[in-house]
Amino acid sequence: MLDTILQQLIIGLTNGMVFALVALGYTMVYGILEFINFAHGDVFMLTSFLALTLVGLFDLQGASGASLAGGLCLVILTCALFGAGLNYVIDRLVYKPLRKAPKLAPLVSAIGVSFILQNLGLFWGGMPLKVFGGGNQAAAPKAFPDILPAHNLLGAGSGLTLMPKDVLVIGASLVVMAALYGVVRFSKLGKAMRATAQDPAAARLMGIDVDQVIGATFLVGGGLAGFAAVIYSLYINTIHYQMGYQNGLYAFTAAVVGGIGNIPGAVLGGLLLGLVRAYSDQFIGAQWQPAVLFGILILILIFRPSGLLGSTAREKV
Amino acid sequence: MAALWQRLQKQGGIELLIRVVLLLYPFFPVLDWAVQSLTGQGIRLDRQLVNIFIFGLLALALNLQVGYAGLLQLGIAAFFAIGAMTTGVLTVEKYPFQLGFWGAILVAPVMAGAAGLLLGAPTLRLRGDYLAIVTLGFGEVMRIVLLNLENITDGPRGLNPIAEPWLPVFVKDTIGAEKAIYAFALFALVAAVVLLRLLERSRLGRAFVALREDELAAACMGLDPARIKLLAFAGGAALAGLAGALYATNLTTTAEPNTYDFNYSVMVLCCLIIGGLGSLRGALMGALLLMGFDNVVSPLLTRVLQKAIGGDSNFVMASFSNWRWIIFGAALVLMMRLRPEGLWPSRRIAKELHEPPAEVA
Amino acid sequence: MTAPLLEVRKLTLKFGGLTAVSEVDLTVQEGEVAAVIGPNGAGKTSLFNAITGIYEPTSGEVLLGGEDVREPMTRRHLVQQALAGLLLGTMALLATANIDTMWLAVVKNRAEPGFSAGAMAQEAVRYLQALPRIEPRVGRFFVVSGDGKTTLGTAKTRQEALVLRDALPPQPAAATARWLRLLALVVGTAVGVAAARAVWKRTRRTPTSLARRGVARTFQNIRLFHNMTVLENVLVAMDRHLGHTQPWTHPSRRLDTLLPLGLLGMLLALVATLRLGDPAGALPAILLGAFLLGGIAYLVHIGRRGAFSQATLALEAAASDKALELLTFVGLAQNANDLSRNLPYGYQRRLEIARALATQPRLLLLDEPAAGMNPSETVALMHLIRQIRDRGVTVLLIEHHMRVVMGISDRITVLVHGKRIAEGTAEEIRNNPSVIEAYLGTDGEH
Repeated sequence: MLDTILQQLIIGLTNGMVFALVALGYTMVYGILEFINFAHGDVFMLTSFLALTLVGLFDLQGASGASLAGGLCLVILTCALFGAGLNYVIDRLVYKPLRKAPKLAPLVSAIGVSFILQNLGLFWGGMPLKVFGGGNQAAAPKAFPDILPAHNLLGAGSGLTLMPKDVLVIGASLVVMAALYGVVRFSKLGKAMRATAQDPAAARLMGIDVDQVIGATFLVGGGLAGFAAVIYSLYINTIHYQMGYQNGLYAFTAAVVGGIGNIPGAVLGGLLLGLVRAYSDQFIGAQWQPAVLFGILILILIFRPSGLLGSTAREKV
Repeated sequence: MAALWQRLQKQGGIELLIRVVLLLYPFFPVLDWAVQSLTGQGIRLDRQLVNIFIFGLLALALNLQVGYAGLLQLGIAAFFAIGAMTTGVLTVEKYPFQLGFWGAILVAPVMAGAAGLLLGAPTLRLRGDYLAIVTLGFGEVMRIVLLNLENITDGPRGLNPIAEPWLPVFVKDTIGAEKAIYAFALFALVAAVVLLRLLERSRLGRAFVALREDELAAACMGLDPARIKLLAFAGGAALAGLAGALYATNLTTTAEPNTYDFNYSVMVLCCLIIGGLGSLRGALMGALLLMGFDNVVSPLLTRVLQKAIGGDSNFVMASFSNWRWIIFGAALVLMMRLRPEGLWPSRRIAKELHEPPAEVA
Repeated sequence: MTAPLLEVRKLTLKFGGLTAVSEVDLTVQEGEVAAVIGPNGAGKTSLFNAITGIYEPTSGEVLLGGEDVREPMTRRHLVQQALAGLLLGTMALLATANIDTMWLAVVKNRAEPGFSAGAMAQEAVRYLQALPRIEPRVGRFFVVSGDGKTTLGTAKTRQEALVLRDALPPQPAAATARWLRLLALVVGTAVGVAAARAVWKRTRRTPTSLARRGVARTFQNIRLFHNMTVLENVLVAMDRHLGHTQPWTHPSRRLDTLLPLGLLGMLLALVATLRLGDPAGALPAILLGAFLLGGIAYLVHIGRRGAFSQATLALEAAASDKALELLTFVGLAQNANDLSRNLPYGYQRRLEIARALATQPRLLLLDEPAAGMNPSETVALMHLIRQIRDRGVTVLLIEHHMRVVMGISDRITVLVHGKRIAEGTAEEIRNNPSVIEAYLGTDGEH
């Protein structure tokens, strides 16, 4: 029993890290633009397809040692750049012209973009590549090869399983989050971001290039999503063109639970949601997972609408 | 392109076309019957057309929520599903209720409306865009619940067969159940249009406009935004439930729960955005366009595409139905950019969308 | 002595680390014109927002006519909370007891003679108590223990299964399952009640409730309904006073066209049914005929008559008259059908006042009504404010225009950095050294 609980703790934390990474992208954009970037989850999904393609291209499946580490770093870097670039381009092309439009416009556009990306994911999965099973079944889930060594770090006899990939997910995520926190907290860009989030008009008057800040936010958010996509694919070993929507939904829920617009909140929310998900899968049943998470979302919204770490926003009158 | 469109509209050509199309609807079954008695083989348009009416009803329901009350609701399919499932449970032979179509058609909107009330009461007071996520989540959860409660809903198979509606013998003998459903669906659609038109011009319609323009100011004038939104939300949910009941009856099954997914909700939203938010005509024309695309244009283009490529029909891009989400997504993006008020706009909403209220300091 | 119309007691408003308003007291007597002045950023608008329910004060009270403005807990709220508890409790219970298998035991395959709602309810209660139950599966009836873990017997028909079940020796009830279900019920109910209470607490003080208690306001940065006409702006604010009509539509209730066609539908259905020799279907056919033909008649009727009944039209006309009267009062009658966004600035300010008056307030809060007005408009405004007071509406205003403030206020409160530093008549304020130092001395007269 204790082993089960501890095992689910590991699963929950690793899952939570991935949620948190995606949630950060939602929360940062929301903090500044006050709109839900529905396409964010699909940037995540599309990047995971890129990751799979690259893994096939670099032939990482059989690799080990230095070539594996180097290849993996290259994949992560490329995917982070791809996610950042994609997110940035979407912002410039679609959202930027709508900055002054009523709130509904960017929201609906984001849904549109989400569907376009999803469809592109479907097409990507239909590419005649070996890693996609020849591309004959575009809509089917794609197996992501288990390229990391799969041995238990706690020894073969232990009741608990802790694999290198668990350590990688948690460790790498922590490093990235710490870096993000440092940037937002101490760099000039980070200060500009926080100022813009508080009051775009005032920030503009203070000489901050708000547009540049927004662009940077999309870059950072997209980069995080790209990174998360690689981590997720390595960990879950299956990718699917519709996974962006569901993981996006969870990640946004995590952002709301932690307090939307709040960066530590997104991490806390992500971890919390990961844990709840792991334990509900164990004790309630995996098929009820969305229902449990939805219930939590509703309860949080009723009892603490501003989230666990969020402060009550001051409405501008 | 846009200029051409505007000129056409100004000259009333489109207007005329819309009217002709709308006026033709009641006569399709007659046409069908005539063709059948002449050639011995009907064109059997009714079922397809009923689907258009049902989709139109759904678009109107969403219009009440998104267009009138300004609530971004992304889970309309869930309420549609509740209506369909209620009808299934209340009518199929293996359950003891067996209220029949006429009983179910009364209960289904009530159930869907109640679900809307329960979901809306705690969440409608929150920040507007939280509602998008809550309804999105609700849609997903409803689909999962319907899939998982296999003993009740028959899971992926769906409840069936749903008996055709009871009809007086003389109706049954003369026009038959299929055409009766057609007539009733048309009747429901017309009734919904008329009632929503009334709503637009009523006190409540005025309150909707005020709320969309400036919720805080409206509240300070004594309007209760939470109550007004709840009314629209529950009303829209009930209408969607009605559509669901008709859908299940027309299909004679509650269908696979995966039918009622997020994509379905977005498709209904697509109708509204293309047709015009807050515009009754727009919602109906949007429904017509989308159903037309899915059932006529898409298969046609697929055939053309397949011929052009030659043979390899396994390739994913070769089937046009695989392109539909790119097309719908692009439609949403382009409409928001170029013509946010839709192709058949309501005058009032066009104004609101083009001249957002002055920036508040 | 009667209670003052508005009394603010030690009101404090904090946003994060920032204290916008700190322990401010303010009293406004019925029938006077009171003013709040202070340099920019002194917390005047925040104070207004707290009074009108836009902000929830961090501490302190707002009393209107001696009563706390927060909505008290009424029986309706209690019922709502109880219902929420009941609902969530039931949901938790059904989820814990697994409604899916419960459906098997209670509803499924009951399309046989002898079925009744009572029997179903009985089965449901037995199931929830975790007593042995009957589950129809693959054409047979299984008698299953309360916790669902063991099969106690099978039979071909439900009757046989019932007999089998009743013949069973008393089973040790599945105690764990029963306790778990009870626990779910209790916890669910508690959470439901708590949730309803949380929502209620947040909505005790809202702009709506304050407006309904007779507090109306204007905004510093004009917040009209820009795409509505001037008249519609006022009509929206009158919404609550539009007689005893329901907020939704009022198609005519007159039955003159509906009834004959409905009757005709009935008659046709009856004749046709009987002629075709289906007497059993006569009653439903009649109902159906009446419903459909009557419905069509109804739709045609409201389409033709322009949708609204005479009574509603009369109410709307009366409301329009009243709105026009208000517009005349502020001098905007000739603009009644203009879009409010097209009005000049000074007119927009006056329309905001007319709109606020349309809610029939006892207390009118004006947030910088003279901002952006030229001298002659300012004089007209002072006149208007006096007239408003003479209509029996108490006025509380924020203003930087010293001439306006000193000219019309019976009592002036001075805020600096969120604190009240002085209160008194115009004369007293003018001669108060701390006011001169903190405010007039630095800011001067505009």
